[in-house]
Amino acid sequence: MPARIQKALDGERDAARSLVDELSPVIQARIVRSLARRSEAAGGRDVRQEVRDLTQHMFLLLFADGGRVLRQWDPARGSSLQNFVGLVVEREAASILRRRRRNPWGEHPTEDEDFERMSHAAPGPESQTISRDLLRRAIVRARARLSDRGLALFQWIIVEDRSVEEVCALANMTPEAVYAWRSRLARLLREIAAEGMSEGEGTRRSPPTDGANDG
Amino acid sequence: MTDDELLQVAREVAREDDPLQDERWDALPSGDLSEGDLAALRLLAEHSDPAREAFLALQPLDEADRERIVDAILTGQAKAAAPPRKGALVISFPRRARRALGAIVVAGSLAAAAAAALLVPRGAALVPEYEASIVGEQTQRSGAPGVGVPQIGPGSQLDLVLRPEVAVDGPIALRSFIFRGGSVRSWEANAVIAEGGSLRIVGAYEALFGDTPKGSCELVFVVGRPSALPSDPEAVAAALREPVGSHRTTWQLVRVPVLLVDRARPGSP
Repeated sequence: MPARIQKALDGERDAARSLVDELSPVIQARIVRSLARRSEAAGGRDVRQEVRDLTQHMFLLLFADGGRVLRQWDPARGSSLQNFVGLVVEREAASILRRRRRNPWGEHPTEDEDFERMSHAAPGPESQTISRDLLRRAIVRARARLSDRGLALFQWIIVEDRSVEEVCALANMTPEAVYAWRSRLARLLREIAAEGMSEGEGTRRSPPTDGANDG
Repeated sequence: MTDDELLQVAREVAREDDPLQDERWDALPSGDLSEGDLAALRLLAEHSDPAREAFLALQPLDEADRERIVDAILTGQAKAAAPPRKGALVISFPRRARRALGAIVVAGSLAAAAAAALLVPRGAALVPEYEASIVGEQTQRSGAPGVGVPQIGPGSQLDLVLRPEVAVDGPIALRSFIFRGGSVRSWEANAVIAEGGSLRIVGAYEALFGDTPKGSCELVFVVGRPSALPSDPEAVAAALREPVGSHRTTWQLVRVPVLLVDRARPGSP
């Protein structure tokens, strides 16, 4: 454990302030990225205030119980302090967003519903090439259907292309579960893309509406 | 199109549409961006709502924010290092059945627990430190170890007790404030004072918080001898900025972080 961190854990104000200066940028950045995944995650709160509060929350988490979390950082493992703290923050932010969604007045689907929806997904157009435009629309729809946990996994697995090991650490999952989610997310995109194709065909085939002005 | 191919295209498309894809966003909170990079992000913020929110949210924390975080860290350490309370507290309130989520000890006084406080003789003018607890079915932990933040919203009942480390003789008074966004304002919260110096605030969210904006804030209580209590929010704000461990004898400061949430009343559509 580097001396500067030990001093902060020992309650030396200057050392604690130095760590706050050093780590607050990465903490802020990871919080904002986590909140941005679900734009309504701030629940109508002042986003700047929300980031301030969550930043303090993350520092308290790092220092709680004699710095239990902070002491888990081992420079010998090759991860910088910033990267280690960034992972902790992403994991905690995902957990906080998930807990908010679980509240009894939540309006969005739960993770269980994600699984149920995916398990009932019709086989998608696996052999077909899906256009970028169609996929773009499918991504928007998929994000709207996913729970916060599903959204986080979508971001980590698909968008950010994180390693399986990293996703396991972030989501507290086994590698098998991460691979399963990867397949499910791909299936979800295919399913939604197939819906989009059907809607497009339906639109082209639809007859003129009743009462249409025929001149 | 295999899964790998599908996900590769999805990745490219999602990144194209991600307003935060630019890695310069991550450097914004450090305050180290060049003028050119800063101008580029500002331009993005002018053309996208998510980018505008990110631009504001990623501004570097100011001096007060950083000091507040340091205070919170050191306060947490001081509380963890405090000696265990000796003996049972005498509280004359009728005992209430604990609800499912039980009582949550949410905060202590700003100062570190001092051994001297445990030795306050009955009848002395000294006021010992106080600890706050919230009981109620509407409260819940935030989940982080040692960082329980109760959530309170419309339709819920606040039931908050302030207990002295040892029973207090003589007159005790309470003034309440809300600390939010760096400023302190007075808060009307009537308390019942029990023999021994414990205080209890019970009331509906609507009555206690009214139009208080939702979000994180701290309930701040000054409790002590009536003639010694600060009444000016500025004086309380100054006390909040004092170093951890500041020694007070005739009044104490108690901070209770809460999250005011906005939710539908039970039974509402």
